[in-house]
Amino acid sequence: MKAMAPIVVIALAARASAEPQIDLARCTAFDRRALARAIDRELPELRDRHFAVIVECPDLVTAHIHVEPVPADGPIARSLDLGEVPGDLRLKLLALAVAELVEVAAKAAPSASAPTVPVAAPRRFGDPRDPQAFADAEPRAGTPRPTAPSTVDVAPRPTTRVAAIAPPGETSVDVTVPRERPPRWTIAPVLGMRLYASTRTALADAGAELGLRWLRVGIRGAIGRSTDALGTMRPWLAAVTATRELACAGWACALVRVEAGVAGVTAHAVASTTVATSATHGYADAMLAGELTKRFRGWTGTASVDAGWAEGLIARAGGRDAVSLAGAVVIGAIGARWP
Amino acid sequence: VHISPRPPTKLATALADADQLRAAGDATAAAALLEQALSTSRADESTGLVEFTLGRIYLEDLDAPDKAAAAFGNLIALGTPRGLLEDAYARRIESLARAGRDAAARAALDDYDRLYPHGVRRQALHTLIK
Repeated sequence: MKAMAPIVVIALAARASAEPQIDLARCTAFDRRALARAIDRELPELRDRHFAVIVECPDLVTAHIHVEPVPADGPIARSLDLGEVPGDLRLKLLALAVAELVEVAAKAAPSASAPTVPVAAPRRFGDPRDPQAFADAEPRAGTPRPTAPSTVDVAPRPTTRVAAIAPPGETSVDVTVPRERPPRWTIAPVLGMRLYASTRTALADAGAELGLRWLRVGIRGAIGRSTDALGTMRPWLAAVTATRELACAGWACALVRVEAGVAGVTAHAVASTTVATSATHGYADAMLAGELTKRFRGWTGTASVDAGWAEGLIARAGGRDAVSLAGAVVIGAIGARWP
Repeated sequence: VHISPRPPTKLATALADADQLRAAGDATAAAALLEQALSTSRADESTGLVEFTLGRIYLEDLDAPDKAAAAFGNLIALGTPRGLLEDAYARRIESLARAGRDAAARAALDDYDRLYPHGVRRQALHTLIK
């Protein structure tokens, strides 16, 4: 069998132009190179067919797969709930589903000949994003399921697969890995509220983050208002931020964030007999944050909650702590990230 | 807030190792590894994926259609992942036919037709089971 390997490889090379293509350009939720490798491992042996398999993954738990052009037998499509398996196996599930659809498409009639097996009603394929949903993926309730022994013996290997005797690069189907790479940077405006616990000082918060590969840097400003019997105080702060992802699971990430800048309080007395003094001071805080993300077409929505400790200033009125920009702080924010 | 990736389960680890073995051409070892993992691990969300992979190895690499039919049957009994359920039904039919178990294949095809009246594999399966 090994002596046949060169012949097999040459034959495959000659057939390369007729191989199916796997289009992953619309699968933005996963690392496309990793997905391409996973699919390549699962693909069935090559066939002389002209078709493309389009894979769309709008988020980490959803995938839509369909075959173009639509075969004469009817559309071939499938939607997958990738959330059914752990995160580290989602690529595997998607790759298996793609490989199975390639197998189906390779056996389908390529021309407009009528199907020989009557069907109850033709499936419609108007929307390529979700033409079939789970209609055919889940058995109907009440139907008996076949049972099978849970363990079986491993049989000796009587045949040799092509992939086993030729270099992987020469036997793989032409998996199209788009030249498009993940963006080198992202921009993310955020709006939120921050609360300093000791004096319950709340500030409206706004900022923007530039996301780089390993770090996010940004600017953030916050302003608030506090009324005391002696006058009005307006706390504010302006800071630069640096954020690093600690770990992510699905659409949730844990982050660490530090901020450094200037904090101040502008004071106005209500009576002429009261002296109001404004102040500014250096400011820094360090926080742990949880961030949830939802991927949309072309952008990502974010929601985050930060909790940490700040060193800044405390404004006092009549011997009491009136406004605090120090101590325990919590920030809640929503934002959007492009691209 | 502490969020960290869940460590891979024993089955998931076995699946990754089996993929490497299979890619290296050792489908027999890949199947043995998956069989051992299935027999020594508790069922979890990975189990269906392992059964499906095992079925493909038996059917495509090891020419063991009886064992393939059993593996696909196990996934069907589990009912998950649903995204591969139709494929598991179809592959089981294909396995039974290749094993020469015509009556079982016809019965399985009847199940498939009833469950997936618009199934994408209907045409091919009816061509196979004539």
